[in-house]
Amino acid sequence: MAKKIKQIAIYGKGGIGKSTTTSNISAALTTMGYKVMQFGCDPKSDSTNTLRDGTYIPTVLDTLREKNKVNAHDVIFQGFNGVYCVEAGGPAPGVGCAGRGIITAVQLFKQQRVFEELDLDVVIYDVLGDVVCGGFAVPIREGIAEHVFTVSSADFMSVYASNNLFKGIHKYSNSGGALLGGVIANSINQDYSREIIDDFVARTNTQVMQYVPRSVTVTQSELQGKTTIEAAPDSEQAKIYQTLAKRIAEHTDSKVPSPLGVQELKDWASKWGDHLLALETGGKVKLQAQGVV
Amino acid sequence: MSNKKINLNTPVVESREQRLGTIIAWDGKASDLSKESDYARGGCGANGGQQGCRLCELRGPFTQGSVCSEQMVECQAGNVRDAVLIQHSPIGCGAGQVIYNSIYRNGLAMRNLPVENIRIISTNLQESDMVFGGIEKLSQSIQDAWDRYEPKAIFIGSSCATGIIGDDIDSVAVEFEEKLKIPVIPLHCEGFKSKHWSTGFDATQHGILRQIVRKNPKKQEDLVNVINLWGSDVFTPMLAELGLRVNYVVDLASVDDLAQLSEAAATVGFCYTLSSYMAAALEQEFGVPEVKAPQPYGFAGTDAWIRELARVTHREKEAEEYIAKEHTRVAPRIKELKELLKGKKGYVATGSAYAHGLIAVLRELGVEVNGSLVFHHDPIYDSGDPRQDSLAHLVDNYGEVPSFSVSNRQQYQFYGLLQRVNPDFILIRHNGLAPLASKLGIPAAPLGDEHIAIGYQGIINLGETILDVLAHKKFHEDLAAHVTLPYKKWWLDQKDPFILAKEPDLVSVE
Amino acid sequence: MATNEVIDKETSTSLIEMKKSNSINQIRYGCAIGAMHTASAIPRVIPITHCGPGCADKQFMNLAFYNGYQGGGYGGGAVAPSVNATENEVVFGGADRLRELIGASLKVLDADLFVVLTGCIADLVGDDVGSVVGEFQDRGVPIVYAETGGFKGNNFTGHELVARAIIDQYVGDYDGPREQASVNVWSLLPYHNTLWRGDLTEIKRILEGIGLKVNILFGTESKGVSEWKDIPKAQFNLVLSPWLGLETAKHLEQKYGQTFLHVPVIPIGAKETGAFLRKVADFAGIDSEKAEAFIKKEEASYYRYLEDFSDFYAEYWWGLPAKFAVVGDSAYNIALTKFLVNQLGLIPGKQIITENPPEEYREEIRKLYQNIAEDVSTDVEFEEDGYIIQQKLRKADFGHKPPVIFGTTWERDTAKELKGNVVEVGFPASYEVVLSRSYIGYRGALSLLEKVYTTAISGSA
Repeated sequence: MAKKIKQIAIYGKGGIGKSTTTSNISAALTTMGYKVMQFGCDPKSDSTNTLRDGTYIPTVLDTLREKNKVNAHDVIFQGFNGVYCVEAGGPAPGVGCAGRGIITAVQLFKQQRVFEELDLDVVIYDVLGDVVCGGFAVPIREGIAEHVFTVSSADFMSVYASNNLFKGIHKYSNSGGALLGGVIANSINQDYSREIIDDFVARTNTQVMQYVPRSVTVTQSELQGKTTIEAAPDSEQAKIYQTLAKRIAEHTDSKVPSPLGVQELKDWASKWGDHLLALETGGKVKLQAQGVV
Repeated sequence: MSNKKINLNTPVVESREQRLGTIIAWDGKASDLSKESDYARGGCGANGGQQGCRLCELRGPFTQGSVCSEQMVECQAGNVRDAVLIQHSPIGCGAGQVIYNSIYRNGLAMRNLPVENIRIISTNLQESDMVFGGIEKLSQSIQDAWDRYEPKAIFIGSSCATGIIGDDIDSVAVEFEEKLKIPVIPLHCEGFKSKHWSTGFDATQHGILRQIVRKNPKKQEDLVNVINLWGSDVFTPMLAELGLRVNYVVDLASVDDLAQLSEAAATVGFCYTLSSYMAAALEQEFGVPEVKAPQPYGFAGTDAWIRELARVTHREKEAEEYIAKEHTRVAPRIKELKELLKGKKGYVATGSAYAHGLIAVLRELGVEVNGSLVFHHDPIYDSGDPRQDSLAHLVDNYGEVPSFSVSNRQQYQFYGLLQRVNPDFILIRHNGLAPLASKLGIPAAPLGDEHIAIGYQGIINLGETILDVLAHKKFHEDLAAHVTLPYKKWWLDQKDPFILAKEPDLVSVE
Repeated sequence: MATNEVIDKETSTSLIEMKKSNSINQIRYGCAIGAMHTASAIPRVIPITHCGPGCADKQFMNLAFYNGYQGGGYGGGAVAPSVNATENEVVFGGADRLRELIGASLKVLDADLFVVLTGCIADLVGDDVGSVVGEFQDRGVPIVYAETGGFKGNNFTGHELVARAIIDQYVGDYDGPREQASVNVWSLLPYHNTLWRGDLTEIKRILEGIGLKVNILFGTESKGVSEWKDIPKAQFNLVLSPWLGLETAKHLEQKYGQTFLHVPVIPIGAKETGAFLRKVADFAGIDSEKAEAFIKKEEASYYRYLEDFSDFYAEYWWGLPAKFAVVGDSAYNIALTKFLVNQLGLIPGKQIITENPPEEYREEIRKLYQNIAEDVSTDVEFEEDGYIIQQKLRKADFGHKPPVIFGTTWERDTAKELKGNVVEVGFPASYEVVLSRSYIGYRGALSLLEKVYTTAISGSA
């Protein structure tokens, strides 16, 4: 009996914490009993490091370069709690074509029907958010991931990047590709951060899957080469990731995103800029009034 | 008027459309095209100069396969006798080795040179090279080229694939030039780089000018550069009448022949489309005068061409003697040919400037030319000189061509174009169109030897060639009665072959 | 193994064993988009190429023009629509342009099926061609697509990608009855194998002769897309080639549960053809009497001609070549070698396979040469670089007489150097004009004999 494998893609601009987030989601899902594969689509090939004690695994593309033919199983490595790890790989900076690399790696797996053989429940593609050419959009094309989530913080630059990502997703979601499941809000420590993100998702017809605060626990775990789920399973942070993973596992209702237009985005940022300034100065005034400063 | 236009300081040549405003689709009367091209010579009234009027290029939703710049690099750099061309690409671009091998071998035979296989090496890039870059394989192939052939120069042609992934062929070329002590010349000729393949000629010539042509030339006052392809040797005897010697370039030349380009007393060609860039650059950089006259086709053109060549090389007396002699010699046969060709209608479908020349010759023979097709149109050539305006020369000396079209070898348009004119024969050089004419019962004269129509003798040659093929009509008419064209009746019924560009809604996706 | 000896540059007679490099000189195949010919080889099918401006012309002029001057046919040559990609399509993607082109093609061209093939540009830039073509498929337009970027492989690779695309996207699922005594034939590579038209005609003729209904699928004897639609109804598939077509047959087995018979050596001459037909008849379980009757009739005619020929073969004063070399793709290579050794009793000097067959098939191919006859065993080499091929030919031992070389235009000069003859049998054959000629089966063997010996004696005076 053919099981429906849940394929999702997680996009995030470099440095935003998508690999951290994705690895923790994968790890959490395995603790819930799911069979999971994490497929890294970033030429840096470090998506799955924290699932394997900080080690790099041989990439699909490097292996293809050495041998003429690659058996997908040769490039699947198991990590924490049996999670299956794959890295697409890619060229060094400044040469070759990383986009083509993603196409090649993903197609290889598709041709060899690996997911069925391994009896997977979930496949998560962890993809570089600078979707600079067609190749990086391959995971969200028809027949691959059904749901896309983006990782964003509340900094304006990060929101702009998310909005840009929505444009790319919009293009594919209109022709049978993945639909937007929601935003994973990272580094949310202040109240106003939460408000900014909430407002953004409201205007772009999507939702927040989870608010993930910045946490020292995460950093400490990573330095050990582990996910928070593995290194600090009982921590507050781990619980946040567990909840996020559960939501994603049960998620069904994705939509076509509605990215903001150029002027809309400017106006939105401008409004929030004023608000934040008001908060800051208002806060100062309040403190002055209290005689603190 | 000297405008230093050609920039040899960068390894990448500027495409035709950038430099000259080249277009690949247009329809109307020859005189209109000539007028509309006037802007390029700064002749555009109120708006003045290049910014003002532009030629209106048609652009339609339906295109059939064209030809690319990389093929022209194969065609030129690949045909230099003691050089090797490396195609830095996946194997597909290498398929061109087959056609150019056949042409090279036949070209060598026609020039009485020893026949041998062409020397082109493909770096044979695979999928993983696309991902990780192909520079290592390029270095290997350059080394192989050296080990196998010890050539006098190595050309490196880029391709769509290596252009997209951005392989740095320039650095590799520099590295090997130092190591092997021969010119190693990167040619940037990706197929998608230009909408017309003539940019490939420019790319090859650009590389030759930068790295092969002698920088300290010793003048040879009786040497004339002839920029051509594989044509039979008609220029040697012709120029010998003026006491001049010929340096044929680029095809079938040796690297030394190319090096001495800067030493010549003048440069000529058989077609400005081919020679424009090289000739102008030789004058600009090395002071080798480009003969600025109409091309040597028909009486008017040939007379003017010889006189200008003679003026530049100080042989006016010999020229007048030659002209008079030839006029007398060819007159009787041309008279006969005109009788035999009376009432016949011809249609030319070739490269741009060449077509202008051929139409002139047809008109000398009294053949009616009511329509013709050129594969692109350069409103001006690199020299910027109005004396080289081959289209204007045609219209001024031989009259209007009422149905004059520009289209990059699109077979689907050829049907409608031929219906307008209903010629008895067509003249071609490039592939793809004659098969359609054939299926309509119209024979073609393929001018594989591009020199066949040059000069006074050329008028006779062309006349006789046409008489040969007119008889082919029997074959083509029989065939026409038994074939089906792949075009829908709706399309064949269209009167305007350019209708899709003008009314794209006719074929738009609902 | 391979070492770098110094070569004598003046005489070029001493040879060098080169370190295997990526360079290819004197190409032996096209790239994956060359499979546009696979599409145009099917009557009334037109390929649409999503690539740069030169690709279609290159693949056509080289595989179909300067290779036997075969012509473009209905939908090939200059007819095939092409995106003619420019910087615009590279930088901004070509999907919209492709959509526009397909839409226009549907109005201008009359075809039963369109096959979209991609080139390097589309595959590098990541155009979602499947999605664009899918829009048309959803509206019932007969159109399929295959991703055949040039760097993915050669035209052999492309061929099976296109065949697969047509099967999966056009023929589709099938659940109905099978027709007994009917077969789908997967054999030579159209256009690449220069004599494919005559060859497929002969294959069809002899299979029909023993009582089979034949879907020959490509060429003048094919009924076009209706035969492709009939693929799932056939009793079985016949893969008649060393390896090309095996992937397709395995896929058909999976998809429709059809069995397949793999005959790696295409038969040339009566002995081989008789054995082949018996094998097929046996596999198909058809009436062996009818098959025998056909074979007998063919053999009667064949051996009459052979008998006439034997006067020449036995008595010709001036001697005939004793040793031969075959340079070409594996299908023609093994077929010729077998015929020349077993029918004519010639001695194999050098066999070089040039189309780069996948590694997994090479051992089986080698065995075929090792067992070429009861008393003859020979090796075969795999080499795609023309420069090295010429070296190997020069170095081979052909005995005291010049050899006959079955090869391509690239081998002409080497043959002259060795004072032998070349018979151009495969890509590129730029000095042959081929219409309906065949070199296989019963009739083809006789044409082949005419060609070989005419060539052998023509140079004499």
